[in-house]
Amino acid sequence: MSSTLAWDTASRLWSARWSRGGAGCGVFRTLLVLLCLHGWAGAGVTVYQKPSAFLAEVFGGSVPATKAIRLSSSHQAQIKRLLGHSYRPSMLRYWRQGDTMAVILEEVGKVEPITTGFVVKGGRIARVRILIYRESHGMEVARTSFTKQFRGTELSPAGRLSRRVDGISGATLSVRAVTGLARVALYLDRVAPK
Amino acid sequence: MSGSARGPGPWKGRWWVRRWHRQLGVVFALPLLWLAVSGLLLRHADRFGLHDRQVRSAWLLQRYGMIPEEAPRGVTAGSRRVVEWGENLFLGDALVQESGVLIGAVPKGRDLVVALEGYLLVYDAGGMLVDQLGDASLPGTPLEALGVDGDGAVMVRTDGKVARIGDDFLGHAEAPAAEVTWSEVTALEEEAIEALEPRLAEQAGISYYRVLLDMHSGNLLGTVTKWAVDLAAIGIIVLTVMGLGLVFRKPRTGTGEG
Repeated sequence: MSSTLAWDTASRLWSARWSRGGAGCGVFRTLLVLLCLHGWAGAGVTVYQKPSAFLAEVFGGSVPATKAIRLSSSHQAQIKRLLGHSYRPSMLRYWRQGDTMAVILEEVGKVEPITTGFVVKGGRIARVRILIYRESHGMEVARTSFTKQFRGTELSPAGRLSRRVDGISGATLSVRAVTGLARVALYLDRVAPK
Repeated sequence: MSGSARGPGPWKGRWWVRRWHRQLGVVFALPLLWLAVSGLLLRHADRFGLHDRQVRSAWLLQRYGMIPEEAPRGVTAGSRRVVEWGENLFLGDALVQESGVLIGAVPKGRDLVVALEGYLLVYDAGGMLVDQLGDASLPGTPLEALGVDGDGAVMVRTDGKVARIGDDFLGHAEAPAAEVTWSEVTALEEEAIEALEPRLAEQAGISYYRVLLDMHSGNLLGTVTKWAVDLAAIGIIVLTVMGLGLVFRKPRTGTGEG
């Protein structure tokens, strides 16, 4: 609604200003574009890839049967160490074929959950993909330049990633959320039945 | 001294200032009083317990967007009721973290299955989220309807097709639509709405301090009050400058002629 209003107002201002021309036109146009981008940025849910499409891509079209692990209190205690809190829901779904496991996890960035797909192969992260992003800021975590940093990382006995993941200024909470989920995905690969 | 206080001459300017000072003083007396009183209360908020006391007024909560404008919708599943109100989802009287467009709810043994447009949620008897089936675990999304068949199996409809969800919620298979009792979401009656308002108020956690601060700064009622506070502040600045001018400005001694 707000972005529609912003667009409507911006369009009217654009027409009025454009018809007159003037020296400040360039500055005005820049401000207008920023206003519209701001409206769109806060517009809500961005689906980068549907979770079902992610699984189909990972397993080449033949997605294995869904498996689930009920997180016991000891699992939740470990997850709390990795993520900062226990995981909801208490049943975690995953898909496994050979030594490849895919899991779709959610964690709140600032106020909204970030849906992320992980592929773990041989105890190392093979792929990270932001599937659905709902926050108004911090969507830079969906960029490949960020997600590819996780490739090849494994979980150390201390519960840390084996490689440092560089943050993104302005997306600290989202980076923290995705990094925490990566640790959970690696932990899940260890404890989930084969 | 030539000229009178109201006539032409050295006192003319001062008379004009005095007159405006008096009139502006009357106009801005109440806003100034309000700003002073509310400022004092804010300074001593701890003493008055303004931080601890929470707002309960539905009208005020509405101003803060804590009570959604949309009418709440609900469904009864067994002995439990699920309500969607704006972006809030209630299980009985408890507010849960999940949110979305409510499609239906059905009991499954001791658990409760709730369908939102994009998810199927399973809650245990204590209201804990046990399982969450998203796009990857469902026959499709958005979900259009949720129901149970004659055997008590959970059924969903998406894209016009009906599917039976496995008892362990790990699989699904297409099924005939016959004998399915679909869950129906309906508008909530006034009494039920009133019962849920205090829950939203608790969750909102808006203190009297915040309300007073927003009233002091003019943020509570939107643009009009923001402008009113700005105007009052400008008026007070003008009054102060005028007052200082009246006190310190010396009367001119001559007429300025020749």
